[in-house]
Amino acid sequence: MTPLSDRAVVPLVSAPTDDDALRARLAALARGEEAELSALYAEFGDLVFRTARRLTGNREDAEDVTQEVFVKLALAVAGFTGDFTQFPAWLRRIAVRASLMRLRTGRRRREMDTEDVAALVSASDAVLDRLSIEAALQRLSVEHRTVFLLKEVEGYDHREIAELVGISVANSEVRLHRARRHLRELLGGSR
Amino acid sequence: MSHLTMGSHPEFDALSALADLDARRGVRSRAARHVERCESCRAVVEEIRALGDAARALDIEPAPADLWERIRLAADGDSARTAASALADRAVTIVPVRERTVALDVPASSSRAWTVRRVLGGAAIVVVLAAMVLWPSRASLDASGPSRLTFTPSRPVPGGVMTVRYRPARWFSGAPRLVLAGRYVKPARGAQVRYVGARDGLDSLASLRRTADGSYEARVHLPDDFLGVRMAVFDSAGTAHDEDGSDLWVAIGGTRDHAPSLASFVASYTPASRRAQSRQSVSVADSIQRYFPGHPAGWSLYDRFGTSKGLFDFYRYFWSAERKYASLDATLSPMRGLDAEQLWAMVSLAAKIDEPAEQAKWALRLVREHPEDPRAFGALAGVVHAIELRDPPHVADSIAPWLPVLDSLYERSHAVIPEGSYDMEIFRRQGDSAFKAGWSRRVTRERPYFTTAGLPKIPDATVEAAVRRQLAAGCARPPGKFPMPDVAAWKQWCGFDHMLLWTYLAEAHLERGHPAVAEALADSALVVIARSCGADRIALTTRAKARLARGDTSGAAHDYAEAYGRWTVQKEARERAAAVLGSRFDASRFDAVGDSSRRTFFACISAWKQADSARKAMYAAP
Repeated sequence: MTPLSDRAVVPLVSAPTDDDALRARLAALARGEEAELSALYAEFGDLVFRTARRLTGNREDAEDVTQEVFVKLALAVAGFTGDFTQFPAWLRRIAVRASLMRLRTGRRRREMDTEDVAALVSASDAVLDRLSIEAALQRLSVEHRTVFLLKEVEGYDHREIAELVGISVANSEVRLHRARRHLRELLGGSR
Repeated sequence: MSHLTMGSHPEFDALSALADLDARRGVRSRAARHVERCESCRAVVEEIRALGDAARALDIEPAPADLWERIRLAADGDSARTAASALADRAVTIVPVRERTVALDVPASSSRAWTVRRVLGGAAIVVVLAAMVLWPSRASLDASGPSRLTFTPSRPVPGGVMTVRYRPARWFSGAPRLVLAGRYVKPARGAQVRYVGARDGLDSLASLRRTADGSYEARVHLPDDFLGVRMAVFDSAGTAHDEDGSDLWVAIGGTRDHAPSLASFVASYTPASRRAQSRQSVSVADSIQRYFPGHPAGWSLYDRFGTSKGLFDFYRYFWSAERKYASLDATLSPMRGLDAEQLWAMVSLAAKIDEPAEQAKWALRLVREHPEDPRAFGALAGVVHAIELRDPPHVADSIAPWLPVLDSLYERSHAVIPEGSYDMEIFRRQGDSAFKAGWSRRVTRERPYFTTAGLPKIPDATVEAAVRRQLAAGCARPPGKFPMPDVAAWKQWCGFDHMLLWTYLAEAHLERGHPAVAEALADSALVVIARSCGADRIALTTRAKARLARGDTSGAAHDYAEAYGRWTVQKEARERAAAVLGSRFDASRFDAVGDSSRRTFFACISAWKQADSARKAMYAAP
């Protein structure tokens, strides 16, 4: 027989769940409590930054997007209706939207870093050396790269991508195929 | 729908779509069945999946440490404070979704008027559904769609005049004249010119002159062998252009008496993947089906088998590829004197339905009856590949008898084998070493660029002669009537290819122990690629090796440093140079030359980027 001390303790009153705790935190954030914003940034800052970094293609834009997302988070949380487990995906979608908005409006930073240079070497460089996947991604058009990353890295399906990017599902599929074809060419594929 | 090519392998898009499917779902599309058996296609699917794996594995750095401080300061700003206080005033609470309710505004009572409206609405829906069922769902035919460029007559004739009207894109507004550029479509069976980009190979067709209503108009005198023409519009300097989505506008010709022309349709065919973003409604397959209903090309080029053209497209049931093949096979098999177009279409259609025995039947007939047709070669290569896929015992023995036939067809038909094609891979896999070497030389002759791929490390006299012939041919294209810097891609690629060829020869002479010759050849490589941003580093590295072999350490170090400045992965290049030069490596001097080289490289990139930004800004939405 299991000793009494090892038995699971069943509380008479349900303890606060992760869901309840998150809602309390978001409510505090909506009231403008900086400590909550700081805590959320500590927990999800890298998630937002990395998503933005992948989609915008450079660090400076990713920083701007991350700042924009967290500064406006107090307003945005009112629109969150999911449970605790859905919050990271919801936040990531906001980061994706903010990144796409930045790409669309052309407010991208103009600083040139090494990766940027690698991306800009004339097209005929493609067969000189087998590029890294990152450099090859940088050489894709923004439209193709965006769909490729949303599908392959962020894990969205074509219906979601179509909604995020503002294109048709068929167009999303075509862009993905073209992105893959171009990537293979850049990475030395033969056909 | 399976996107099978005119040969026997699925198109890349079909393989890409297949890569997204979960193998455990037991997908049994034709492409999937093909991939199960075809090693090369399976490798492509694996590569496509590996692209996603590689992208997911990319190590993205975490957010910088000072970013939170930036965010905190920004959040403290006026806008954030205002937003927060406004929200606080509204006492916002986050409500779990399960507790939310939605109030629906339901009418309290159903009045007579409401009932009538519902009846009328229902009737309207029935009418719409009926229209959807009965309305012809075929794609529109050879006409200009809702496009900025239109032309009359809708079916231009050889030797006739075509009037083109163009409604200008925003960036052209106010220009007194524009240039209609284009390239004429070549017969499908002829040797195909390879184009680097969609706008490559365009030439000026006519001036588009402004009319009173703000649009532009041009009259084009068509050649006597006119089949079709692909077109774009440029400004007079050739710097800005407009086209049909992501492709060129196409005008498909007719016969001299204005009837539909099968040759024009077939020659103007564009795969569905290229048409995807086109605004013109041009369906070659639909047109052939309508005007040449008994011709198999209408079905071999058809790429919407199994795809509904509307919600209630009942025709689809009767349009399966297998049904069409069976029907055409029954009609055409007993007929004698079929032309190459019909036979090739049957080969393609049999490949489309994944019936290798049927494919072989029609391919052998094409080979026997039209050995001079370039497609006979590809058709037989498809048969040989089908034997490979079946992988019978002693497969090499089964294939060996066909290789001389392929050889002969190649000579008779002057078939062009594209680089990296399956046909070429057959010859790399099959045959003895002498046979493979012979094909290696032929491939050299046929490829206009990327010619070093697949060549032996040290060429024999025949290969070297072929390479030198290609170098002597130069990069000149038929001159356009006006400058088109935007379409100079071919020259760029050709120049790059020539750099690779010179470097290839230089490396070969280095291997043979002729460093002086190698250095001279590397010099030639550097001359042809001089204006490129950093593309010369491979030739610089080869010349450095040649100089080192000649004892010119200083010159070698200089070349290594120049090349180092152009590499984006500098550390590796520097370490490599240091290892090669050993004690002769002068770090400070190397870095000085390398830095100078890098500044030049950056300046080149910067100029390119500025020009590119200016070009993109011109096309961007206001």
